[in-house]
Amino acid sequence: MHIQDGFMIGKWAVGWYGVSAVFAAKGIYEIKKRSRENQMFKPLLGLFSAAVFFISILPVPLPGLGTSSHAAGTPMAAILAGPFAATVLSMIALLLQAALFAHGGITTLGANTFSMGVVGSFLGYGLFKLGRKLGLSLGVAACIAGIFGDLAVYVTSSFQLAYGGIHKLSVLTFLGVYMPTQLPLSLVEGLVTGGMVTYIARVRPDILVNLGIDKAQK
Amino acid sequence: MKSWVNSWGKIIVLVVLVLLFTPISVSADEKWLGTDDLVDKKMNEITGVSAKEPLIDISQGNLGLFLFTIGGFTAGTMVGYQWRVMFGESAGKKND
Repeated sequence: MHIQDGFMIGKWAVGWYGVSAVFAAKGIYEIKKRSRENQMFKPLLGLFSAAVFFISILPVPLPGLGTSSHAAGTPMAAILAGPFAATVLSMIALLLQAALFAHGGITTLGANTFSMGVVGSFLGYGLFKLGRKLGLSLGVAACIAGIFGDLAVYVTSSFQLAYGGIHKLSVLTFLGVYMPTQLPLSLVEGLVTGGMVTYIARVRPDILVNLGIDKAQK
Repeated sequence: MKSWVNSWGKIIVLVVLVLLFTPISVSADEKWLGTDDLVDKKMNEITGVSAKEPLIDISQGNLGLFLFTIGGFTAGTMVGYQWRVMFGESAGKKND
């Protein structure tokens, strides 16, 4: 999903910057507010800023396919730190990856932030909340959020490239490149997301209660 | 509803596992090529536009290795430190 510089039409690249900036601005405001209100928020943010950077650049080789790809990490960050804060973490990670490793571009930072940060975070967060409302356990709800949040990032990138790219290739062309590798990898992202939330619930349930993710046990 | 989600969950896991161990051609000529690289390659083939060089060229000598090591070390230290703050033995005591 790291769209490179030069692959998007200028007006689309600017447009994605504008949309992502709105979410990032709200995210910065929320980070400041929640850091003041909750002592636990800063270490959590520190943990997930490094985790999102690491997860979203780590190429995982898939044995049956001979290809590799990376997860997003934003569904997990969104569940625990909130979707707006996760958007900011995503933007920072993508900026560093673009500047240092040519993984994604500077002009396409807005588009990449939208797919990984906004869509990955909000869909993951929304599915987690929906899963909990349906009575699913924390782990299962987070796992589903991880799987579909991951896939949604790549589906969004496919649409961005198909409709805002310098060449009008079809969405299916890009989905055909991304999905065979991303489908199995999304399971890994789901398991990591579910595993992390389950681990916190077992070791430090007070964190989930403090952050409003889970209710206090009576 | 819960059982419906759970049964669909099992199907999704099964499909993903089948995909994981089934060789599907995604036109990866080189072994372990990333999906982002495959897109870059396709765009290059069709449009002639290739992915831009990074702002800082890390392909010279051991610079790439140095930066990846520093990046991995920094991320690992941050995760490890914050992990200890949050889940370490002392964290539990502090919040008692």
